[in-house]
Amino acid sequence: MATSSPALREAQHDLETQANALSKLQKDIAKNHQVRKQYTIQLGENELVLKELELLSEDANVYKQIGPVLVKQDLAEANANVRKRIEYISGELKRLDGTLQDLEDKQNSKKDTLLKLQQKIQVLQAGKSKS
Amino acid sequence: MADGVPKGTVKPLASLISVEEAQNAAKRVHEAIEEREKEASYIERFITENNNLFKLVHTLPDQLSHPIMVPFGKAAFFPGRLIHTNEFLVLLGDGYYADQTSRQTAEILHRRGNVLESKLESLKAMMLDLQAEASFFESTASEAADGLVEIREDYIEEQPTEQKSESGLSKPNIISDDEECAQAMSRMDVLEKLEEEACSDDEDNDFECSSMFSALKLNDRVQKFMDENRFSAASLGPSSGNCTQTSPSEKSTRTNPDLYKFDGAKAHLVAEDESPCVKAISASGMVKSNVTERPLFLSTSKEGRADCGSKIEEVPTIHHSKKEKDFGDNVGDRPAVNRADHQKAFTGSIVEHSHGMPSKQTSESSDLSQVSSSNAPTKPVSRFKMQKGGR
Repeated sequence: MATSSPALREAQHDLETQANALSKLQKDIAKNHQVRKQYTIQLGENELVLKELELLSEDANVYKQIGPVLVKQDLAEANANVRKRIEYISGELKRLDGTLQDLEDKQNSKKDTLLKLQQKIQVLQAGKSKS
Repeated sequence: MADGVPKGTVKPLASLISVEEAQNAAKRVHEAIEEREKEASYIERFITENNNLFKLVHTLPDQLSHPIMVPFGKAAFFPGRLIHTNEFLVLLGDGYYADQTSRQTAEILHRRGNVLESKLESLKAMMLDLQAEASFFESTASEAADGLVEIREDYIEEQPTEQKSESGLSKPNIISDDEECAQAMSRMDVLEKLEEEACSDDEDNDFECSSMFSALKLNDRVQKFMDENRFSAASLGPSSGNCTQTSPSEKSTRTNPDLYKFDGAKAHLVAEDESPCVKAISASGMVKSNVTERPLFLSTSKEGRADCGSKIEEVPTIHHSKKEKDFGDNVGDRPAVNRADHQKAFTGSIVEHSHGMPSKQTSESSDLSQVSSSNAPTKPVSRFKMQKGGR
């Protein structure tokens, strides 16, 4: 490669940076998936809680664990809190879906550019070997 | 193969799907299955824990207090008593707790157990799907490795057009083939037609016999054309001896036999002998449904059952089994005929066909079975003949 032309070197450099960007994107996507999974689990749990809270009798004592202590809460308040939380999580999930879609699009375009770069390099190398 | 049969393509499966790729896919699916299995075992553990807790909650309020060893730090215990055995602080999830009685707790646990069960069910269903996928990938990989070929053939031609195209194909090609063969084939066609007529005359014995007789004579001629002329008029004589009269239809056919080709024969039948034709028509109609089969062979064979064997001898290779069953008196003649026909039929390179055709043949055979199970053996042979003609 010591004899490679500046164009070829540049192309290879380009390819490297693009590949790095792509791997970063893929990491992001993986992270996003992880977060999304967690949120889905939480959503399921909160829905369970809501169901149980609705089944509780009016005068039941409800506590919320905050750190190491249990704080007594009104049932209605707890109910409202859980609802709000479910809403929040749903919104978050939607947002995550959007970003995930975005990232995947970016990933695909990056892959395309990478492919093109590879082809270019191959052409360059072929020309080199011929000359 | 590909050049011989232009309407189909044969590709090795390995060229479409590489073995490694299929195996990789199978591996990935297996990994997914393992993941699901882990999840399932996790959930199962939850379920058993839940059940244990459920039992405990049930038994705790049985007594006012339970003597227990209270954990103190990591390694120490001290004796104590559980009181308020009917009061539970239940974690509802997400940091929410509720004061509950034993019964209420049991209910909560029961619901939780149901949720877990449904989750497990869905996981199992997913695993089943994945397993099916994995087995598919594996079989594909092994098939590709075994050198399986993919045969594609467009299904365009409908039955009627198919018949025409077949006959059209076979005739010119025959000419292009060696002359002897061509002549023999055309003779055969005529003979078949005659047979059909004879068959249509089924109920009318005289007609039948006479037509048979003529068919036999024609057959002899055909045989002479062939290099291996094994069955002579003499051998045929006894079987056809009882047929002496000449039927009008037979005459007409004889006057210009070459005019009657496969399709023509049927039409001719319909036009000339109205009543007897019913049989022939029905038979040929059935044959039509069988796309690739040569119609006349089938129809003749069908009717051949009802009549005597001399007719059948013309279309012999097709009929082995049937002939044997139906026509005991002709047994002596048959083998010779069969041999001759074999030679005729197999002058083309059959091996190629047997390679290219399998998928087709199977489908055909299913069609055929509807027509008549006894006709099944006829199919491949006639097919070969046709193919040979087509070559």
